[in-house]
Amino acid sequence: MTIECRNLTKSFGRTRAVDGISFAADGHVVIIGPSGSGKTTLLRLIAGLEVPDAGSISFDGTPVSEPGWALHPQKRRISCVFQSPALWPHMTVSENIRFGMGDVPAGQARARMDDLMERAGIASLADRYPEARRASIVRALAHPARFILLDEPLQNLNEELKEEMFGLVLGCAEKNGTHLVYITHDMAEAEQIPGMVLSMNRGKLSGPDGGTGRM
Amino acid sequence: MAPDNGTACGLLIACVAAIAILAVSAGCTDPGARVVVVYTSVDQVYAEPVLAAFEEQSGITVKAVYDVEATKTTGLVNRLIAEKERPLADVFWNGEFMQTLLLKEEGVLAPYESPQAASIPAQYRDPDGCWAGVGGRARVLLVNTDRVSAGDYPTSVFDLASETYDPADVGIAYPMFGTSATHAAALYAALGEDEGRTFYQGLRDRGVRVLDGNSVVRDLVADGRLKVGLTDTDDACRAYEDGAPVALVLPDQGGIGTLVIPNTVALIAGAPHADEGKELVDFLLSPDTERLLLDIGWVQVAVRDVGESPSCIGMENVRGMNVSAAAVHAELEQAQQDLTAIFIR
Amino acid sequence: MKRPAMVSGTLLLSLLFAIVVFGPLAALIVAAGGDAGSDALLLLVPAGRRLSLFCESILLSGAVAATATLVGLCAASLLWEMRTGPGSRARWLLLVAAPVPAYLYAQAWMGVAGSSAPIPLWVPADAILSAWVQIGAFLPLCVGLSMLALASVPPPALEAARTVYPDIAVFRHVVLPLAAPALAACTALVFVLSVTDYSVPTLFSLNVYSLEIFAEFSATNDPARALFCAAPLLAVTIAVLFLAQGRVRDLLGGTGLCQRAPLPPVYPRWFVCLQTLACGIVLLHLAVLVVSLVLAAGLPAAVAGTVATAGPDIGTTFSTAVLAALCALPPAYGVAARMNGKNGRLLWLLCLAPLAIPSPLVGIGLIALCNTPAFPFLYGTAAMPVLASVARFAPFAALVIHAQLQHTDTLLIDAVRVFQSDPLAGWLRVRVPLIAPGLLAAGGIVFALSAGELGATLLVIPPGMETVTIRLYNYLHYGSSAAVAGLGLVMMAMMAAAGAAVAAGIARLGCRGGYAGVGRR
Repeated sequence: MTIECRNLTKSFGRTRAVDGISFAADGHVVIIGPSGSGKTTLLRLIAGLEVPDAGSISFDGTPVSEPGWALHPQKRRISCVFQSPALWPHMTVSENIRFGMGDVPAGQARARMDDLMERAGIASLADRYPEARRASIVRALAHPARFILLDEPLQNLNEELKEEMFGLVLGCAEKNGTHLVYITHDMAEAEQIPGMVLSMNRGKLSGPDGGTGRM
Repeated sequence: MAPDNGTACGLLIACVAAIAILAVSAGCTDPGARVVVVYTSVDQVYAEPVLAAFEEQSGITVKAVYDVEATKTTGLVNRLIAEKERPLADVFWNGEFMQTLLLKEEGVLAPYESPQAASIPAQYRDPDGCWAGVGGRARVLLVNTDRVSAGDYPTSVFDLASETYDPADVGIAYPMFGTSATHAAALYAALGEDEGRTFYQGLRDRGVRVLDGNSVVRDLVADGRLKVGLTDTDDACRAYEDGAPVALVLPDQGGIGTLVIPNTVALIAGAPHADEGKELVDFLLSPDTERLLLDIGWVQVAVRDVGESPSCIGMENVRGMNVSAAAVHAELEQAQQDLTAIFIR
Repeated sequence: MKRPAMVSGTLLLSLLFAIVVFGPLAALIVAAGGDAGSDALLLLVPAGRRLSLFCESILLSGAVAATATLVGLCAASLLWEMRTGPGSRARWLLLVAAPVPAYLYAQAWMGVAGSSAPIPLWVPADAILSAWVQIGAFLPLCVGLSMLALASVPPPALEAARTVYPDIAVFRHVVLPLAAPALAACTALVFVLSVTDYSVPTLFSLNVYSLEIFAEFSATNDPARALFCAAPLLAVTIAVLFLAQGRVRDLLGGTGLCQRAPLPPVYPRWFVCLQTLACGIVLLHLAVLVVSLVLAAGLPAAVAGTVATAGPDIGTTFSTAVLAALCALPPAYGVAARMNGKNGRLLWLLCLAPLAIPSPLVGIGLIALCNTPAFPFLYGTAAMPVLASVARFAPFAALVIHAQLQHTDTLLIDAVRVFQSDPLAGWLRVRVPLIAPGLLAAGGIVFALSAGELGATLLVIPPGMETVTIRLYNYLHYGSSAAVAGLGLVMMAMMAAAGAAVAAGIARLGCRGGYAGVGRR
């Protein structure tokens, strides 16, 4: 399963958030860089939540985004962990996760959901940030996807929880053969993910090897 | 939030569905039923029993649209003009005659010589047969008997502008709208434009109270907040019959006469149910209906002999103002323009 | 693989909005065909008598809007603290009176004025009474909007200030500046409603510019002249709205609406007196209205008789208002969703400008638009009064939905785009529930305004149908105060039912926690 971005560009007004980024990856991708460097925009372009101004994205050689056109996110077989938990507030945690699993048969979905919720240590309600954050990660892991896009998924969790959830994410990815596209500020986290590292600054890839490298 | 296409499409589908339901439900009518559509400025309370009597007699279903005074007579007449090319209405039954003349001028009315109109005097019929008058209301002075002694009753509309009464005790309705506008145009026609304008200017300069409608004039005289007011007989009689301390005076019986305003009935040009419309016109112009209108109190004057008037005021020998409908109509626009400038400031 | 660019659903809905809201006006202008061309300039620019009338009307409406907002804010600041006990529910009952026609307030106060001692001649009683009644009629709206304004103050900002300053300083330096945008919006809305209303001033023999428009229309039967005549009002309205632009957005954005009751503030005596006085004024207006209606309505049997006679009208009114609310929501959503985009400011103004168009002109325009061979299935059907209400009130709905969209976390929508198994499920389970409070509030407002609509409905209602409002105005002229009062009570009951449903919906849906499941079980 490969992601290929070619000369990807996206502007908001006069600000060029992503500026001519190209890479091809067959495995996990870690994106690092300072705040405002365009990491989230790149992730949203890959998710199909934004349409590129120029360049293209393809999954396994099939184009999914071109200027003026983007395959609907739902059809990309991806799942996401956003910067905030983004749980639908009118649903319980279980309902959030179940809804995210789509067409998975009921029995199978139940078993998978219970397993993940137990491993993440979350209950059906989430009225505090750490629970909501973990629930949002479980929702993404439960969704049948080929890529999981994660935007700083462990921020504001304590060290113990961070470790627990990081293990869960990596374990699930390995078990299901899913690839991660992982944004983080934490170099320790980045180093633990085997795959390509993209270093971004001001919308461009920066650093040695044109901003791409292998850990 | 950025434009969200999914929600928009969903709502678009919901909107189309709602409109489709609306159109389907709106289109459900019984094609076999005989129907007539009447637009009327006659008060609903009075018009309803008359139209019910027609339904019972003819078996034709009447669909009515009623005007309301709050729209300042901009309601049904404008609707009829706007609908001219594709009318919905078959019959227009008007509580006065000016707007009917306007509709004739606009080409909204169709000529129809109703056999029932033969007994109506020529002065209440259009020479081209586009409308006929039936039953009338008069413009009267309503006096509060608790506040004015019998010897001090006014006898003329010109008394309203005289020094006899404190202007704060005298009320008229806005003379740009409804029957008050008709009255103003009639005074213009009877006295000449200059004298008519001077009369209203005098009312304004004295500070006579100008009120929102004839019914407000009636209410204020009835509860004693005004001594004297100028209003229509249907309003005045209602106060009298409700037991309010009021007396009615037919103005200017020794002078220019009292303005009598007949109801007018007309067939609409291009009426979708012309035959049924003609039946309703015949019914409304019949002596029996005129009698019914007198009995229920909508009109106080008959245009022909239909027996003794049950009105709260003897109207049999009323001396009418000697002006033709056409002459009054010719003065309307000038009068309305003058009066808007005089009274809305 | 080349794909066509996406067709924007919101664009289609915005076009629908434009057709429904501006279509009648455009048809009117086309139909008028420049009849009034020669006098256009005279009518467009008020001069002489019309200029002084225009200025006085603007002054009167400005005073009404400012006073109503001030009294509404003072009353709301007291009511806002009632967040527990029976008061917390009772305060929202005030809103039930918001859609009662100002005309009924006027009738009630005329009765009071009639039985009081005569007012000295040097007092400009007509202007004072007219302003007093208009203020009373708009107060429920002002109190409601002021409470929303207070809700827009973030609780942490309030708490941070309370640790340093006394409560009155917090009110002055934190609450007022943060609530100011919403209060400005409230003033602007009341100004527009006041300046276009002639029914109350004329009852008190006060001439206003909107009456001039009707006199022009009545004298000439020319809608184009009336439209030109209305243009200065339209210009002032747009100017007022421009000043308030972007401020209504904060109305529903509040996070304080659902916060638990904090420690009650301690205000100085003078401010408590002011709050009490304001609440007294609000209650006085409501009491005079309700008592006069109940007294005039007579025995319950008489009210039942009136209601029975008006039974079909109640059905018509209810179904028309419900359908108008349903039909107004999608196009309003389309415009609301685009208000943050490139031409958002323009859309905002365009959306609100129609509020100043006299209602009969909307009716005449709709006839010109729909009574053509192109729409043979529409004209003369029950769809027309629905369209009239949508044309007049969809802008209100757009405003409210826009506020809701501002308040909705975009990531929640992104999440459903990623996780939904099919668009319908995503729509039904997430998208609509997320904006449901706004949809409910917008629908409720359109329902209430549609039920009370007269000017445009009268011109397009199909023969044989009637609304409660039309019947009510008929009885008003006839002088049957018992029937008027009975129908007034029916209207209030209808609004109460709709208001309660909307308030309950907003409370349930709008007070969901930031994370899943809070307040649900």
